[in-house]
Amino acid sequence: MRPYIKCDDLVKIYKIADLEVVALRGLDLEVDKGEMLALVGASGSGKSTLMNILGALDTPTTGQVWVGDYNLLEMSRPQQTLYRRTQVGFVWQQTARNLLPYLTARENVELPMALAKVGRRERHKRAQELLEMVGLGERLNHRPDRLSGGEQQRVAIAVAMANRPGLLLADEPTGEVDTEAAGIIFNTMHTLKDEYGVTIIIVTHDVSVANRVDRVIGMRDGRTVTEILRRRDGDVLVSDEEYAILDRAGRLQLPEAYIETLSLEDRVRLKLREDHIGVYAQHHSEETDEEEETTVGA
Amino acid sequence: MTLNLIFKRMRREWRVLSILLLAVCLVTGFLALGPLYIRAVTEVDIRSALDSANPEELKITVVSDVPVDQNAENIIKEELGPLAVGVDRYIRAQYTAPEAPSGQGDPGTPQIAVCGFVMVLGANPDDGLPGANECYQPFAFERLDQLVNVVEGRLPERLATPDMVNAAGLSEEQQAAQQIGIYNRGQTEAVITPEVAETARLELGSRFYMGQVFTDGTSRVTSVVIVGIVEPKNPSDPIWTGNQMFLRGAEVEVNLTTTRYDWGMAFDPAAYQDWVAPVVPGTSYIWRIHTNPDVINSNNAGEYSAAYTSLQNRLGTALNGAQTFSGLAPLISGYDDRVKEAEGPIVLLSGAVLFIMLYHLVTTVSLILQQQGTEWSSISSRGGSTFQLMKLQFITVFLLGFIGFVVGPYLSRIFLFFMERFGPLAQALDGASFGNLETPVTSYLLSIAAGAACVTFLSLPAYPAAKKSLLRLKQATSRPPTKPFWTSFFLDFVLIIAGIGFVIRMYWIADGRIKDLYRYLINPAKMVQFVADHPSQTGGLKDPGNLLSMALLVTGIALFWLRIFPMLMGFVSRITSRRKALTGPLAVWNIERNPGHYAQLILLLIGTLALGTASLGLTATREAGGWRQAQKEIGGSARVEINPTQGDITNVAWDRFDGVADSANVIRVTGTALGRESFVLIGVNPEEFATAFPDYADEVAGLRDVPALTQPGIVLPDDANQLTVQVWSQSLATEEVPEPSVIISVYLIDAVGTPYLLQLSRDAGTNVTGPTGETSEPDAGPPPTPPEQWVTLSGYLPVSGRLPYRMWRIGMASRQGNLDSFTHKVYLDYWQTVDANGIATPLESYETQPAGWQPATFVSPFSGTWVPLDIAQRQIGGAQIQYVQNEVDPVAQDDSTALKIEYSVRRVSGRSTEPSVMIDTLPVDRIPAIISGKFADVFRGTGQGSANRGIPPLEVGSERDLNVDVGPGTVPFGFRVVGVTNEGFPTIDRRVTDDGTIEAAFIIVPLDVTRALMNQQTGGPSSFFDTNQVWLNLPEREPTDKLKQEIAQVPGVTVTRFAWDRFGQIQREPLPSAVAGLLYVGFIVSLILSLLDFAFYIIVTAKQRSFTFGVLRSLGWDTNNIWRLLLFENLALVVPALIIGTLLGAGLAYLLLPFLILAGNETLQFKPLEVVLMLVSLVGGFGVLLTLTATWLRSMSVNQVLRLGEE
Repeated sequence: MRPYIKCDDLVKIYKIADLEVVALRGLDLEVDKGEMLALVGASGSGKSTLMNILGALDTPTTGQVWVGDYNLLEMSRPQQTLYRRTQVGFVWQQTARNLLPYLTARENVELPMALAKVGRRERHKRAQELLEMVGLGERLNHRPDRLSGGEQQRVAIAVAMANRPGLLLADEPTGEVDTEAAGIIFNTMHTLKDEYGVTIIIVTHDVSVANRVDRVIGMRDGRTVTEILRRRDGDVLVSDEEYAILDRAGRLQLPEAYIETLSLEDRVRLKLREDHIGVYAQHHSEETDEEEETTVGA
Repeated sequence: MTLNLIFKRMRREWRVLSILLLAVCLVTGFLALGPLYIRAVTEVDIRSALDSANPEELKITVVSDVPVDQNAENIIKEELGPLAVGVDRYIRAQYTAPEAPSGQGDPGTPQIAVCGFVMVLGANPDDGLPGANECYQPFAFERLDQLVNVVEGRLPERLATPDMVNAAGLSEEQQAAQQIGIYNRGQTEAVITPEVAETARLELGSRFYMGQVFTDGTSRVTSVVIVGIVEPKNPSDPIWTGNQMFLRGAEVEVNLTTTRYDWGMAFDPAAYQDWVAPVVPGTSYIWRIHTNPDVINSNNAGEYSAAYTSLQNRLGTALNGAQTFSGLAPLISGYDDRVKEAEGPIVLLSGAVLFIMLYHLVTTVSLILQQQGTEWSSISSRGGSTFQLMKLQFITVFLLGFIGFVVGPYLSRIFLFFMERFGPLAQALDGASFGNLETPVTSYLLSIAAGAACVTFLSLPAYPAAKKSLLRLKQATSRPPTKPFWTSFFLDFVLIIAGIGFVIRMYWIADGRIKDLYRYLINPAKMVQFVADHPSQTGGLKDPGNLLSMALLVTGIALFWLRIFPMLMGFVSRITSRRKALTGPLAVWNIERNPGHYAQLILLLIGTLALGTASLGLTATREAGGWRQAQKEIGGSARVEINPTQGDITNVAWDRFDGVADSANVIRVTGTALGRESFVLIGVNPEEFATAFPDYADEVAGLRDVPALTQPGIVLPDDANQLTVQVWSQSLATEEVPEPSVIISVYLIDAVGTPYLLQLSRDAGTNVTGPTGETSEPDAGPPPTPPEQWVTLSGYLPVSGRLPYRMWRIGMASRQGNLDSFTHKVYLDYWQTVDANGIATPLESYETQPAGWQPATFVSPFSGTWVPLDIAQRQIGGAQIQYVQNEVDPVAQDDSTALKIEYSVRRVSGRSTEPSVMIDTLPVDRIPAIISGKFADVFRGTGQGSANRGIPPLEVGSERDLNVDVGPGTVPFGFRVVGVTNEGFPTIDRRVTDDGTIEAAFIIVPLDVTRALMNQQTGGPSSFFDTNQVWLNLPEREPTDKLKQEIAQVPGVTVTRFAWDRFGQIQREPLPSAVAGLLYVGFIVSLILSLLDFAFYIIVTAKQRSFTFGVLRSLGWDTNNIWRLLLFENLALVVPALIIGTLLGAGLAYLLLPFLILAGNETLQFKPLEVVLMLVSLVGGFGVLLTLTATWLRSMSVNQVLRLGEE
């Protein structure tokens, strides 16, 4: 069975003036339906580019990307618009981007449905349902300027979910709210995931948010480099393990901390052992290797 | 997309949308203005024409041979509607007085009138009717009681006709009073005026018959009785114009010796029908329809003109060839065509200006959309398609466009109101108002078009904005903008080349030769003339390609500017980056970072300034050119036309009249020569003319070096009424022959050169005066002059000539009995004049030898050197003179000198000769003349048409002798060409037709010699040539009422034409005035739009800029640095715009100039003060906005600003 999101060797190159900037360098990623994951990484690591591609705001230079049955690489512009309208919802960090200030919460939620030509009655019903679900059933007719930052973000989540998309992309959704509000926002997204089976990808620097999801993908230099997988039994964390990502070409990025500790640079030596692969600094001697082997073997 | 969303958006953005709505309304109002403006100008012209017309001219007169019936009345009502407000009806019998025979076998022309005779008291009518001895013109006025006062008797009544015999119910007295039945006397009643009564010797009760008596003894007559003497209530009532026969009658010359007094009388209209109509040769039924010119306006002038034509046709049919005429028709005809002719080019020009305005709107709305970028991104991220976003924008601006369309026509009226007071026409309107003009349908249509254009142009930026909304989401908007699409296929160059192509087409077509193209380019006046002279040709006045050339050029240059601006800023940036100071480089860097928008702002400023400059230039040029044109048509600021025979203006001090700075006397005569070629002869005093009208000094320069005419003879005092001379006559008597009768013919000329003959004899009462050509032979047998002694001969001076007289020749017209020839000797002394009081003034007593006295060789005082001596010369020969002393007894004590004349009288060609002596007389050389090119061409040879083929046109130095028919006679006219002009001359008619310009041939000559020449040949006491026009120079242009009164009091003035009136007409010419006016309004609107655009730019960038400024201030900049930064940026914005815009505007005006046909061939002119004011107003507007922005930014603390930026 094909995963809901499948990115295969994605490359995105921007051309700024005469300078080419490679934003994604052969990124691979698979996400199942209903999964909620967080993308973390330093600025310029390619998180936003990946979000733009998944949201059909941008197209990759090469590679393949599928979201559900949509091959995002081969979509025409109208198809992209339709895709954004029905298949994906956005929650941005800045509330001003999420909501139109002159519309009430209900009207903001209804706007995407109006764009999708959903009937008026259905819009009303669905908007109320969504706002109740995000805990704002009492504030339907409030305009954004009368809502707190956290409430605005929850309305934004309702707006993003208006057309029942399969994918919710959230760019630092808790970036401008306090911890308590962030918790509420996160719980809201969890609820929506459980209720609608929506796949949620959150771009975040917030460690607390990253700790709340079961899959955290770390990005660096346009690639996925690490992945943290957590297993829970109810609310109890059973396992929490970080993996390095080995791509299809067999490439692996070593964690920075390891590299610094072992003073790895330029060239390393690899030794295939019985159950693992050893990575050694160039200056590391053969004898030492033997000794270590002996030690290991002992 | 829900309307709810749209309305909520609009409510939120109401401030921005209000400003945008204002901009849209300005645009729709502007486009709607063109047709309204044309009509308004036309309206003022119509009003001016109608208001200044004689009210009588505005009446419509219908003359019918049959009574005007109800059907005809209905036709008049249908066709004229509210224009007809009243009518004067009257009936008039046909009357044409006989034309008296000329006496040379001409029997004259028979009269057409009803005649009859007054019955002599006591005569028995039954004895038969005597032959008619007087004729009449009967009238019947419908409202006679309102027209006349009864002086005596009563007004006429309708009496019964013979067939009205129903006496039933009437008493005998009543029947007698009404002359019914047996009391019918077959009479009809009439009234006459006191003057007629007195002249025709009529009184109340006078009876007369009129009609015809046939040869068989039968007759068709009516008997008329005078029942009243009436006088007109208002003798100057226009109804009496043409009906003077009723008021005064007329003395009619029946033949050479007999006159007759014919007169008119008035009947009751019905009685006229009963009795008079059957006996007169014909009757005219006349309707004078009063009109209400207030109902005519520019919208319906054409309809009324057509209605008038229809009225003529329908009445002609309904009333058996009735004639309809009115002075109203020419006043209102043609306006429709003028409006239509002007409308096309004006709509085209408005359209071109509209593009600049739409570009303003596009720039403004782009800024607004930039401001709304976040919102659009949000909608876009929710799946809003480009189409949906454009729809959102479209519906929003559609509402604006709709309101704009509705408001546009009304706003255009406000523009018009503004123009009345402040526009280029304010002065020309001279306080006149555009009035309560109906907005034409075209204005509404154009308002719709402008609204639609606004909606389109305000929607179009939504497309790139919608596209960019996604980029914004991708955080890619900070990337450098791509080049505009048109740059890739060089649209700017294509447009410029195409524009130049059209310009070349216009200029080249002028003559078709490259060398002429250059000539026209460097001398636009010639081009203007050409374009104006060839309206229908390609490249001519009506060629829309000419306007297209400007549209293409301007658009191309605008795009080219957008192309080069980034490069320009890059260049400036590289230069400024080397400076140590931060403000300058940072300002340039800001502009360089976003060059597109700055370039657009500058471009719009350039466009605005171009419009303003063009408007000011064209207005100034039109004003100067219009005035020049008006002066050229009129002849100076005012032309006073004079009938010289009705008044002498010699001593009129014109320059003392109110507002008159200078004046020039002009003789303007139309002559023909070579059989039928006609030309205009203009006589001026070159010095006087050049001083009064320096603009035309060059055109008479060739005449200025010519010495003044040397007047011949001795001047006689103005108060002289008798001329005397002492004569000592030699004795020649024999037994058969008596002593000679000494008669001296004194030949005089008056001040204008008209010749007079005065014969001196011993009996002053018998002298004969009059023009030379009219004298007859002296009386036969004058008494012999006592010989050998001094006797006095005298004669009375003529009274009709212009003073002073000059005595230039004396002829010895002596006789000796019946001798045909004799030789005689006389001594003359003591020439003197005597005034009415008997006081003598000596003229010549020969105390010294009179140098100027010599035997005559000329018959005429101003003999032309080009006129060959002819037989007439022999008539004056035969006299010898000698200055002598002591040959005869002195005439008085101590006076021994005298002039001895020995002369021989003979008969030549059947007439006695008249040996003559002339005094100080020289022949006149060929007259120096400046001729027009047409004259040079027409009179190149002495033949006509093809006979002149191969002969080159006259040129400077050419001499030609023409016998010019000047009306009263023919003048041998020899001239020498001192100049040839192709520039025309004031008052010379130039008509522009589809085939080109038709210019009258003309010749400019010195006034005094020409006048003398013409008068010596054709002048007489009652008909002579003299100054018949005086051209006045009024520095203030507008004539005062006082001046008009002063002119009216000058004797002989027939009409005065003022250039000011014509200037007003020129200023109101629809097409040129609309061009200047619309450019002016276009400039104002564009200036407002520029300021709005700039204000938007400030609003949109305020947040970004405030953040930047906050950062700069946090780094240590103070508010002065920020102020300088803004100043530098805006200097970079405004300075190039000022320079380029002004130059471009001047160029635009230069190219538009040929369309202002009535600009008087003026080259482009500017009033520097106006241009400076325009620039100051623009810079001032920007300065205010800039100051407000800077003040706002200064008022913020760094903290506040930085927080604002974060939002």
